[in-house]
Amino acid sequence: MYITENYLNLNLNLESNDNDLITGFLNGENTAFNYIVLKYQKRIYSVIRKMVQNHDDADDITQEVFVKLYGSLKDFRGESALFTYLYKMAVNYSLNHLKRNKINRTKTVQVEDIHEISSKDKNYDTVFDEDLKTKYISDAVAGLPEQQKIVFSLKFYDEMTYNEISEILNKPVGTLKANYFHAFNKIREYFEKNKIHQSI
Amino acid sequence: MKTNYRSNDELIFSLPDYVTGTELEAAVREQIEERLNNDKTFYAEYMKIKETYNYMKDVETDRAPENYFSSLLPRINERIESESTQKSFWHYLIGSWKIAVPALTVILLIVIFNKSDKIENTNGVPGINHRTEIISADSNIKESKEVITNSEEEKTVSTETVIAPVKRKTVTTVKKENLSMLSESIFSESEEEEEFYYEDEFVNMNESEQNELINNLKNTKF
Repeated sequence: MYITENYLNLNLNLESNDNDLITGFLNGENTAFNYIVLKYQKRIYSVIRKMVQNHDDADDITQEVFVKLYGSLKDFRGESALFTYLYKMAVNYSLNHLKRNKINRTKTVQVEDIHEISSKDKNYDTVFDEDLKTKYISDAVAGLPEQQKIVFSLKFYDEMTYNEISEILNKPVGTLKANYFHAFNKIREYFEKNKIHQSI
Repeated sequence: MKTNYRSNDELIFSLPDYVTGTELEAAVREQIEERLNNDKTFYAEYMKIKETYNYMKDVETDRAPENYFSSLLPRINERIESESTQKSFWHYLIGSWKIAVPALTVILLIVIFNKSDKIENTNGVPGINHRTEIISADSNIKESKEVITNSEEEKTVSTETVIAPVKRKTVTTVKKENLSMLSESIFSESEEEEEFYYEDEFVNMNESEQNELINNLKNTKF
């Protein structure tokens, strides 16, 4: 059952809302699941990647999250939005992974990886500066305490509201605001400590 | 002076949202702006966050390798398929055990029962001899009764004359007994033990007691 976009049902598409996709899936339309994956894969990968700081682990966890979703969609009661449900799984799986591997401190991004993903259109100096910048930021975010890292990632990169994050993490909005503020401060401190602040 | 002022912490924690321009109530925004104009420390805090934000914005970190997302869906489907195959294998195993365990139990019980039967049959051979002895003893008693009836003198017949033919007959009877007798004997072990007890008792009686017993037996149908 290797379904690609060629097999996708005409009634459902990437623009379909989550409820339609879930209903389609529950009615035996497996392509609905593929649309859910296509719709959320980037966001889910992104949030996981920021937490685990490693592509291979992020890839594995992303797959795990969607496989789990496939098995649990039939029991999905719609008490929360699908993306909240997915984010919750992504965050929990990432946290479990971090606990298993005891990755609590900064894990640096490989410079080779950064070059690999650089845009070909930009000149070398610009690319190099941007790559360095990316590395600094990645390191700074990776060095945050777990809770702050999750909140910062969801708020800053995924532009989620505090209410949505609160639903995912089961934390009050006030605590999340404090986490976000402290995360900003810690990142700033990291920049200052590594004299990155001069370029800010 | 406005009332309903947020606490200092609440305003500071709202600074990132003020900088990024997201999720901020108009009232909180006003209070922050008022504070920025009057509080230098607060303003310094704001500047730090603003600089950090400006440095970080538009920088895409942790990007996935090229073509990663185009290959993710097939790999997820592949994983789902392999996991469901594994699952169905385990379901099959569990399902088959539901039948296999009771079936094995029944087979095991049959084997144990058959074995114990064989053991009992083997051990029961002497018992069968006893049984035949008893049967032949019974007939000898009848014979002896006839003898006693025919002649008063033969009342004094010794126990040896009664028991001796029994022993002789035992040997011959065992040879003649067919296999159907074997199965019968299994169920009559306790009975034969009892009868043996009486026979022993008879032997141990003195002559007058034996005669009395024979007379009594004579008067009964047995």
